[in-house]
Amino acid sequence: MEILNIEGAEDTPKIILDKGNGIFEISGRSLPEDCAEFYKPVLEWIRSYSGDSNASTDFVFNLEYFNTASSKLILDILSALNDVKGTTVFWHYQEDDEDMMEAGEEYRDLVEMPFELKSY
Amino acid sequence: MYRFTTINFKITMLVLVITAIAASAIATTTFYFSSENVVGNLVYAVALICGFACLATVLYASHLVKPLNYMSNTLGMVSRGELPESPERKTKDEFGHLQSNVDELVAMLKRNVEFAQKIGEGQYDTLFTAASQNDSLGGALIGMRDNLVDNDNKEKERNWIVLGLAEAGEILRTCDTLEVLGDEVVRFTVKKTDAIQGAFYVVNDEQKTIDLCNSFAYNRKKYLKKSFRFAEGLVGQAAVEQEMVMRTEIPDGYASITSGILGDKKPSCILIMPLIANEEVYGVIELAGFEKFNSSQIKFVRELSAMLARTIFNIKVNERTRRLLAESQEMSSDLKEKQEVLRQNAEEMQATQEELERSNSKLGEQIEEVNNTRSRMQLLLENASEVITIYEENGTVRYISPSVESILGYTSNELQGQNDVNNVHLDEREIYQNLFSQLKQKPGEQVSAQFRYVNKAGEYIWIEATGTNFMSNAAIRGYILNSRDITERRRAEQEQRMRSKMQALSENSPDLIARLEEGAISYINPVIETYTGEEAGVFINKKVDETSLDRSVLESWLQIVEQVNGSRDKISAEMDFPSELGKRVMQVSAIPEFNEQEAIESVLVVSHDITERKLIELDIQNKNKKINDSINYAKRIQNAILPDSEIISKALPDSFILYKPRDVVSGDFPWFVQSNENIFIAAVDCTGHGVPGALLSLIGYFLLNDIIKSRGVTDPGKILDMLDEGVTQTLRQDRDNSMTKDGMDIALCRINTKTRAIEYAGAHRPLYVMKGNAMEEVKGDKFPIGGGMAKNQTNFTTSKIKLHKGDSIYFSSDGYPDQFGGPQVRKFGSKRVRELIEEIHHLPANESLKIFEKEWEEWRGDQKQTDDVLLIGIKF
Repeated sequence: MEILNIEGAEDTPKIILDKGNGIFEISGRSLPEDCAEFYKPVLEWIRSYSGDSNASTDFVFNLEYFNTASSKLILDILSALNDVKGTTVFWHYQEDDEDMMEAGEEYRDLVEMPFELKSY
Repeated sequence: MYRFTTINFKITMLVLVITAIAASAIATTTFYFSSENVVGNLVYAVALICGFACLATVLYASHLVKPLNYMSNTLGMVSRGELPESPERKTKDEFGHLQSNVDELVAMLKRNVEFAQKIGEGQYDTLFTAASQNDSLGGALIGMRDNLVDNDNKEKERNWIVLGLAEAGEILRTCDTLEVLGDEVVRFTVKKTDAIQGAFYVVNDEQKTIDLCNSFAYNRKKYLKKSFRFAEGLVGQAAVEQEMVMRTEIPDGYASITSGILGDKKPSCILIMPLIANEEVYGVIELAGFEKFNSSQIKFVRELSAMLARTIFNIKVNERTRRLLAESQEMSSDLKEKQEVLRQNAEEMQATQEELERSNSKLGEQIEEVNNTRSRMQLLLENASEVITIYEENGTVRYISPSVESILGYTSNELQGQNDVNNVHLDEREIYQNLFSQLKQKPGEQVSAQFRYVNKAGEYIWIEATGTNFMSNAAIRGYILNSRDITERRRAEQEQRMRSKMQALSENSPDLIARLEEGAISYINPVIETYTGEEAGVFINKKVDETSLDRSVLESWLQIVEQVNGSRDKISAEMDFPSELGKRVMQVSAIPEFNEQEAIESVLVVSHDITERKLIELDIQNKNKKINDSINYAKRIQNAILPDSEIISKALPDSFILYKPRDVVSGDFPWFVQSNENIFIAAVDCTGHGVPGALLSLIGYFLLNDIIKSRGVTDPGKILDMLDEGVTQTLRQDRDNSMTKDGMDIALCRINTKTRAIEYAGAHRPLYVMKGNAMEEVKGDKFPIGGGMAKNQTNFTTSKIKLHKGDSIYFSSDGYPDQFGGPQVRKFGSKRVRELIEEIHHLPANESLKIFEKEWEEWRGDQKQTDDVLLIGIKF
């Protein structure tokens, strides 16, 4: 599988999905003008990966901000990951960022796969 | 006595006869005188008497005179010193007595004379007794004899001592060491004093001890105790007291303990004499004998001691002198040897020096010659435009010519002994190393390479090095590299290449490129033909105003060149360009080109045809304007649905709404409805911002109005449930194939201003309540309005809060806390929002508004706004 590598920008997160090296991470800020369009390749990649996934997948979110529109797409990503066997979601947030912590907790309650919150 | 008596009797008788005769004569005479015939009778009587007297006298005289004469003669002889023989016949009268007495006197005198003669002959032991106790002469003679005997004894003792001392002196004279002295003296003294053993100690000046030097006993040397400290034992005692010690009572074991010399037989007398001179003890002599030492022996030893002391002193002095002499002699002989060696060395050196001087002067000439050559070489090497380097086989610089300083800045010493490969630019290092490997492979062949080499200033300059392998040359045994700075040449070459590249570029560029030099066209590319129909060659080396270019073009070009000359910098401008193709628009860049003196040599004028781009830009501008107009129009529509601030301030006099859309139109909107005593106020945050947000906001607005105004629902939770349903239906999110995930977050309050009762429901949004100084946070439900069904979604919760006067409430969209900024470009954060509320809640709403806005703006700084901002605060 090809590696999906999207460089982060002011309004968009850095995304790296690398099956070979077992790296799956979305980090930074997410407030793209068109969220659905931005995350479309990510969702497609995950769907295709779910048919040919690694034994285990550690999917890392390390976001400092996402807008309401992004929050919907993150939920879509989590839904897509639900179909990938052996997935554990790691939700990183800055220690004093209660919004991100709460968002993580909210997502954790919404999904059925292992979901770990880690502050840094 | 008797004799004298006898003689006295005779004389008396004689006198008496004479007297009787005389008396009878007198008496007769006297009688006659008494008678008348007196005179004749008297004369007769006298004459008779006289005659008788004469006869008697003659008779008596012959009897008296004979012995008297004899005695007179004898005594006369005696008085003259003669001693006559006594006569054989002696009378038995007084005169015989007298005569025998005289004879005895003579005999006595004779005995005395004989005795005196014997004394005179030295026969003091002759038997002689005085004639009587009153014999003065005999007594005197005996006294004289006794004195003579005494004197003789004294003389003998003296002689014995003097003789001994003389002998000792003889011995001492021959002794020149203490060893010998001790030996001889002890032997001599023991013999002389009839001692049986003797020891001789000498004071050790350094150790402050009295050391045994020699001992003598039974003609053998004895060594018992060898050293005493002062005051130790009898020897030490004698030394310290400077007094002779003599002991006759010698206890058992004494010898072996305190006296050094007596090991085997106990002596009966010990004499220890300190040897003193000038009141200083130089040694001790110890003698032991079976008899007590007599006074002569002691005297002798005492006198000998002084002599010994002086001798020891002399010997010590002599020994010291001898030692010093020996040392000095040794030294002097040593010196002599050395001197000899030195002298030989000096001679050799002299010879060597002379030889050296000769060769020196020869060398001097040669050196001068070499120096001349060298300074010539040095000058050549210093001023050479090349650097000559000799490398060792391992690449170390053995020699580098001084010209390196003018070319590379290093001194020769800085590089010599170094491996300078690291000075070569990394890009050419391989080339450089290759140069050496080629040199190694092809001795005798010249190999060249070009590379960059860092100079002392840290700049890379281009070097062309030509190397030769001189490994087989015994004088060199290395690689010689001649290096030249070719930076300038390369620059020129590069410039030339660049120029030709530029030429090619220019020739093929779609832009019109011209170089103007002093008002003339020194170059123009073929593009000119497109615009003028004339070949480039027609324009080259012509004054601008002599060409057939359009007037306006000429003026524009000259103008821009003028500007470049003024600013000395590139200048860009747009200009119209009438041409064969019609009126074109050109983006003209005029670039100054400088000569070496930094003066502008020429100006390159590049004209890029932007006619097409201009048209597109114009089109975009038009479209943009239309969109903006459209959005601005939309904003007017959105503004229409925003609540009237006057109404709000009437209903809630101490309240504020901080509303900052990110774009022209906003996804956030405040919503307000008053129905009887109930005030409904909400902060709505639609997903997205700008136009899509604004579109959603309208949906929210109408749905909320419908639910509250038309359907009369008042419970905030219920209102949100219905709003969710409405949004889901409106956006058709209830279907599985829904394409939109959009929805909204909302904070909704129902406020009864009279009772100050609040009912709150929130979708993803909290309500902050300040009661007194305490903050309560009412968390909203954790699901949004719309956006598709969340799996755990239930109905929205209504929270009821009772407030008092002075209490306040705050709610917002997420744009306020989510703003990035601050020193580390982080989110403002809910925590900071809460702290700010706690800090300023007591202020009137209009003041709070200013502070909330100021704090937020300061946090944002230069960062762009993250999202629409909406914050509502109400104080009761």
